[in-house]
Amino acid sequence: MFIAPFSSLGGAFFIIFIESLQGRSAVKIKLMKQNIILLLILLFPFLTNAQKKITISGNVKDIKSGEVLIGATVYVTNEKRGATTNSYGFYSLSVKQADSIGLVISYQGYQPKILTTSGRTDQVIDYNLEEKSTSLAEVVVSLNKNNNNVSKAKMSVINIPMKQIKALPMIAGERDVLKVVQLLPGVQSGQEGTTGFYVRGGNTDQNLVLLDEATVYNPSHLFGLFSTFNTNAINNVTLIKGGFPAQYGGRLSSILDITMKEGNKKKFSGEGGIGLISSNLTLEGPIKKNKSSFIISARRTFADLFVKAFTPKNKNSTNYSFYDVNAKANFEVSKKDKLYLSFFKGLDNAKYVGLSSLNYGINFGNTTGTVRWNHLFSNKLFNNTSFIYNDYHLSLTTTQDQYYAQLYTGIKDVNFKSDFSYFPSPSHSIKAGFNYSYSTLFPSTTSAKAPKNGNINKPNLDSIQHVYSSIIAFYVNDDITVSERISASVGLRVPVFVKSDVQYLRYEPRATIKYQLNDATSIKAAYTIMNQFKHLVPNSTASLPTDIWISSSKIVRPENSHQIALGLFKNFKDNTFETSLEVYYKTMSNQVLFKEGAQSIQSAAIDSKLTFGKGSSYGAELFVKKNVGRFTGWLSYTLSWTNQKFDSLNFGKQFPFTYDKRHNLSIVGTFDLNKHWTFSGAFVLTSGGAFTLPTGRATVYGDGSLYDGTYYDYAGRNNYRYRTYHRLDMSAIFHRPAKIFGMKYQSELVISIYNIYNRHNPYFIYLTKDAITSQTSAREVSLLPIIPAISYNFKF
Amino acid sequence: MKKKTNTIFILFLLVIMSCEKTITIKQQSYQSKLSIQGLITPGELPKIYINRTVPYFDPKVNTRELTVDNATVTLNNGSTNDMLHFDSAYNYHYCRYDFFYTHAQAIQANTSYSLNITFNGIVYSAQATTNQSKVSITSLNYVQTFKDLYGEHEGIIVGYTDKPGEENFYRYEMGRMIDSSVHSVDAAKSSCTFGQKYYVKELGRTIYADKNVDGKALTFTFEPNYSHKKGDSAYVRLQSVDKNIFNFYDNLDRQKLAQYNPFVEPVFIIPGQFKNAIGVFGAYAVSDSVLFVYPE
Repeated sequence: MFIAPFSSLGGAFFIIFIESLQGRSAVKIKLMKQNIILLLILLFPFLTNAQKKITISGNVKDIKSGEVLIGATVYVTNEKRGATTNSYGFYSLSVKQADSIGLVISYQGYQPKILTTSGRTDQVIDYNLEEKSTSLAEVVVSLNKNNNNVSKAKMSVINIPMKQIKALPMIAGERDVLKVVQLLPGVQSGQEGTTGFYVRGGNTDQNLVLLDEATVYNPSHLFGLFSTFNTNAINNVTLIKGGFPAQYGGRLSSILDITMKEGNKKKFSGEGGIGLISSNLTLEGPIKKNKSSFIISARRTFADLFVKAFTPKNKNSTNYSFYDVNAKANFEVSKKDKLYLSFFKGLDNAKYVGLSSLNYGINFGNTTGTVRWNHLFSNKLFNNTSFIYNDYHLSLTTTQDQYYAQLYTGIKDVNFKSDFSYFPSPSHSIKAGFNYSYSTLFPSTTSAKAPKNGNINKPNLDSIQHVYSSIIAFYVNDDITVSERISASVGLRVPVFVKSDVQYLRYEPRATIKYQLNDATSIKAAYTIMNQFKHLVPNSTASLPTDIWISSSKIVRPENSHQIALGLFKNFKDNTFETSLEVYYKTMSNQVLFKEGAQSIQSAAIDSKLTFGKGSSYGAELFVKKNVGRFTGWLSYTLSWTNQKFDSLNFGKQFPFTYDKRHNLSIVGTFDLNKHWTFSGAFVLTSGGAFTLPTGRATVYGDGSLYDGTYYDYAGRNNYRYRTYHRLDMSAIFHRPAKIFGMKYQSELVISIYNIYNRHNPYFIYLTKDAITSQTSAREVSLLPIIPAISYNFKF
Repeated sequence: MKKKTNTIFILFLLVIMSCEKTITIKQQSYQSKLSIQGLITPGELPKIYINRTVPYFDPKVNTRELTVDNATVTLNNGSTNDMLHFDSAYNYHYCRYDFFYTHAQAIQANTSYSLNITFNGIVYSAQATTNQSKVSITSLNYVQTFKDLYGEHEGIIVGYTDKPGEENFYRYEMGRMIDSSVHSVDAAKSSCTFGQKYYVKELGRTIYADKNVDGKALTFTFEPNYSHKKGDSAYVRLQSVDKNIFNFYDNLDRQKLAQYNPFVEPVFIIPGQFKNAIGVFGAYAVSDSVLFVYPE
């Protein structure tokens, strides 16, 4: 079988290869045998299936732009089952031979298509779907066969509709993918207003954020207030929190898979917006009609220009600028070959003087480039091969209360991967492949009292030690339909981490099983093991992003998680309402934190300043979503507990994770009043996160020495809680066709109000002591008050 | 147009504007405990400082409110069991009384002492032995600027040779006469001496261990606590302290740094020799005094 070299055998061969490279000639035959047995177990059902079948394959696209529709359902009425399109809009279905085959093709927000085709021979059919108008929305409900949330052996996976992302009110009117992710069940937001998100008790670094398969290490702008993703350039956003398919790896807690648009294949078009913080412009069009296209999208803030103009000279030199550029081109080289080129660059540059004697200089950015080649070996075998490059850096110098911290994080990755999708029979859909990545990390961190002259030297990049490592991972995953009621997704991923002085081989079995109770109800269970070889070491005390990325090493062992999840999925009213209730339990080992009091004048080995522990998270997540109709939206509620335990912290006792927030409720709604007006709102209510304060004060005296003074007596780490967080955001969008110089275009005026009742939510708390009375007190800082905003968007 | 631009700018300012206020935090239940510091050295009278810890936001702040004056304190060296009495000394620099327990018998060399404190029916006990080696200062120099975790400051460089074959810990001690024109690093000046000279003793905040440098000639630089003028003189001594003193003050030193530096993880005070109390009972030896004159 073709698949063997790419999965278990491949894994075994690679291990032998690595061993021999390192001069360890002893071949691990035992490992190889284990892999072959696993492979046979995975493929056994497929090998035994030999009925006469035909294959229907093709692509599903938007009729107007030719943009592929990811996750569209192609449903076979004869067999009451279907397939979904992959990231390239491709689907393949093996069905039993018949005189005719009935098909329903559906995609959320689009008019479904019903058709009949010959069932005697293999068919290649491309479908073009048309976006629904508001008035049609209620009529077509009964044709919506898109019940993937119930029928697929997938759980803890959420697709976020782009329409919702574009309609929801956000800070200063900036549309934001990550802010919408924060409103999903199982996701906790970070500090107020920031794009940081924490999934099922994992730290931010445990989220793998992919843009066209390239890793984006810091997907934020403006101190994290906005994400780097320009919504006009995005086609699809999927969040996976558990039940990870085997093609994904490298992070413990979530995968946020973002796919860029390919560009309009039919005609030249554009869209743009003018907002308070930034403006953007997207242009797209065919390079060769219906064959190839491009899209280029750019966004830049003009806040820096305003600040420069309005800030008197010799005053605080607060300044901030950011931009991002997305570009993509795709070429249909032949009927069976497509080539995709994607590029992304985002950069932030800031200088900030102000808040609580806080000064701050930051420069960070991501650059990614992806070259992908799709090849159709047959209508049952699809391949994508990618070459990916990404470059991330963050340089931060910050002073607070006469102390400074300076850090530099640099990451360069070169990735090569090949993924095969094979659709051998109605009962199996197999994915297999490998991924090789070569990473260079150069982290540096320094913290001490600021020099009297205030001049803090910039880090010398040449003097920072470069850390090189490789990861190769092999995987195989089979989506198996056992019976009408039972299906499963079973896979194995085998990553190998190699560094000059250490290597780690890990096995990551993945399994999701679904039992269908009826057409609209199913129960599912998932078990996954994940490993992570790059780590962000968080600083729990500073109110700024002083985190630093490091690689696994002899001292820093790979982070590891085991997660089990159970869920009940039920749809109502022909899939108009999707509901789910999931419970999960996750354990995490080799978690990384800085040691108590760790600081250095010189940025020596960071490893020695770290301490390692474990964590666990468990909870329940309720999700109720309305997909179609004039009113769409969702309610998500999460009840969760997340704790950590480090031998050298908190007297060795368990303590709550910083973002352990017991209750998390989000209500999100969008209402299309008519063809001109759309209203949206989002309400968020969360328990306060944890932070550390001393519970007691101890006086120490002894001969008037520098030791004399007051010391903190801590009862526990993260022993206090911030106040409850809540806010309501609203927006109104006025759509109107307009004309300029005789050219017609669609215009949109967006009026939004963030934090409509001006709640002063806590941002951080710090302690002070009165200079005269020596009385101690706490001060709370709130960041974002009510923020009205207006922006204007256009599309032609 | 200008009006429109101003509106946009005001909206932008809202984004970066913050609100800050003093809040009342509901104090978590806190069981007050003792804070004990007792360092003994041969030839000197013992001084045992005993304070009570208080909830963090408790209004009690001055030494008299915090000191424990009704404990029963004894010092036993195997042959005598001396009861210490409550006493005080006036601190001329901070214009306050410092309170401690003491008695008239000087500490003996090469003797094991047992400290027992009985307070509210609970007995707190710890042991220390005065067997540390005296290590002589071989050189004293001055540097205008040196850099450590506490920042840039002047320093006095102490040279000595580590006693080989022992686990040793060192810190500096300086004694000098000053007046109200002198300020300490916390910017405090005496407001009650009116030009009259008074004696101060200061101890280095960092204790140096001889790990990996056993028996070698060493130097360390310390930051003096009090300001000075050219020609001011002081007597410097080198303390050889025991491991309990090192552990306790190293813990305090790291916490102090974490208090100052917002980029450092908080440091918890680890329970040491006393159960249910913060503190140390330790012994040290001191070198002979060396005269030091500030060159600038």
